[in-house]
Amino acid sequence: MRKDAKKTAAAEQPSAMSVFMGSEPRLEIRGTRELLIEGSTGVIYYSDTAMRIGVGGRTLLLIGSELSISIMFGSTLTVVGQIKSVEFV
Amino acid sequence: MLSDVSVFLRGSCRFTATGDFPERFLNLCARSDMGLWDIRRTDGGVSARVIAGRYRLLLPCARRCGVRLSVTRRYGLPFRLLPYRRRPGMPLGFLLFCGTLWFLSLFIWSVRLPVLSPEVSTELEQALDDMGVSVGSLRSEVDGDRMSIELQMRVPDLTWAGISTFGSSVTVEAKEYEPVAIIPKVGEPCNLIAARDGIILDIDYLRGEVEVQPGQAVVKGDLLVSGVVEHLDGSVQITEASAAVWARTTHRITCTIPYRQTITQRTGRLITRHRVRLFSLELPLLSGIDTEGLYEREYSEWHLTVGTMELPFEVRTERCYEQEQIPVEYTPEQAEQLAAEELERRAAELDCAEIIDSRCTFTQGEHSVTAVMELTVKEDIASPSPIGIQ
Repeated sequence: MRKDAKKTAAAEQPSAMSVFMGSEPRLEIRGTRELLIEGSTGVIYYSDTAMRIGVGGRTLLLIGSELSISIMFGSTLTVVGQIKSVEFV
Repeated sequence: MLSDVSVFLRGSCRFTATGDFPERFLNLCARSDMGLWDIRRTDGGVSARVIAGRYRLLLPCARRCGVRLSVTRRYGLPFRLLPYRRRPGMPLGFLLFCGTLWFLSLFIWSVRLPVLSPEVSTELEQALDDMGVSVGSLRSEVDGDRMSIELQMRVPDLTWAGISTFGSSVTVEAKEYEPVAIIPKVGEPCNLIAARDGIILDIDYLRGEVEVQPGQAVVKGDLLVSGVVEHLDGSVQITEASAAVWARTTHRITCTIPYRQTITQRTGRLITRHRVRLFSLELPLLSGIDTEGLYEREYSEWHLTVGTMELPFEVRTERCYEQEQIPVEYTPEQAEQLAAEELERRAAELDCAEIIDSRCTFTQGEHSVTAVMELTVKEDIASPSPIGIQ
């Protein structure tokens, strides 16, 4: 009984992943120095000059220099630095 | 800004995560709502900042991802206070300071008074002292509304008074009664009458009906220029008479100078005394110096101020110039000279256009010299007198 109840409760409460599986991610870029991403699934690759970030089943490729993550909380993260290109791959 | 203050108060630390998959570690932390920020790439890993209290919660994520954590720097108030954890005197002193400041704020630190005439100011200060509104009194006992009314009753020369409190400072505002002189307003109908006896010399006429002529003798109160003008067609106009009526008048000034006098002059000795006042407590500094005798005293005060706020600490300085009385005996000639100088000084104070003639007579008595100056001057004797219209 208890296990069934737990399964039902878990099914009713969507996880952080499934919330954005069904909705589009949101990107907000300010000039060439700041990019806000909502709905990311995580950082795949991170270096000073390139970043790969999972967004809604696709991968976002950032090319630039002095890249850093200003804040990372839940599925939201903000990338700052000299952004040269933003590409969905 | 508020978040910066919150981070400072809670404390934060910068750590490095070194290992093969630092990205996995970041993703785990993000999903666990660790709230990492300022994440940078370093050699072999990443560095980031986190609230100090959450650092231990990162350890399970680090173990799962196979990364090693190490703290590189600590920020914030908790870490700044660490060196003082074995010094209880520091927080105790801080608490004592706050407690003392709170206690002192219960009292009045300064009382600002309005600028009034000296007599009314003295009365006002005395009334405020009697009512308990002074430096050192309890702030809670100052009721502005009630005391404003009581102040007006205690000082009859005030037409209005108000007492307001701002912090530990009390501001008293008041308006002094000013008697209104009966002076005709500009444009108000009036006659011109003689202010003194004299002989008319000249009339600078502007408006009204002239009732006198040059060479005519007038006495005080005589009508010089009338504000009631009768026109040729029989109509009457009531207007403001305006003219300068120059007349020759006489003035008599008398002065008596005794031969033997006692003059007071400073000996050159100066005694300075200071008193410190904190709230209502007054402490003399370097007491023991006797100033009984004849002294000319000057007082000055220095208030400790911070910006525009007067603190309840002042230093009062009293300067006592020792004086001595020296008997002097003048010769009759010297006394006459002094009398003549005094008469000249008084004659210069007369408000007249020209001194036509002056004569001085000196009478030497047994104990003094009496000087009399007869002045004949030319002055404007016209004085406005309002016309009452019913």
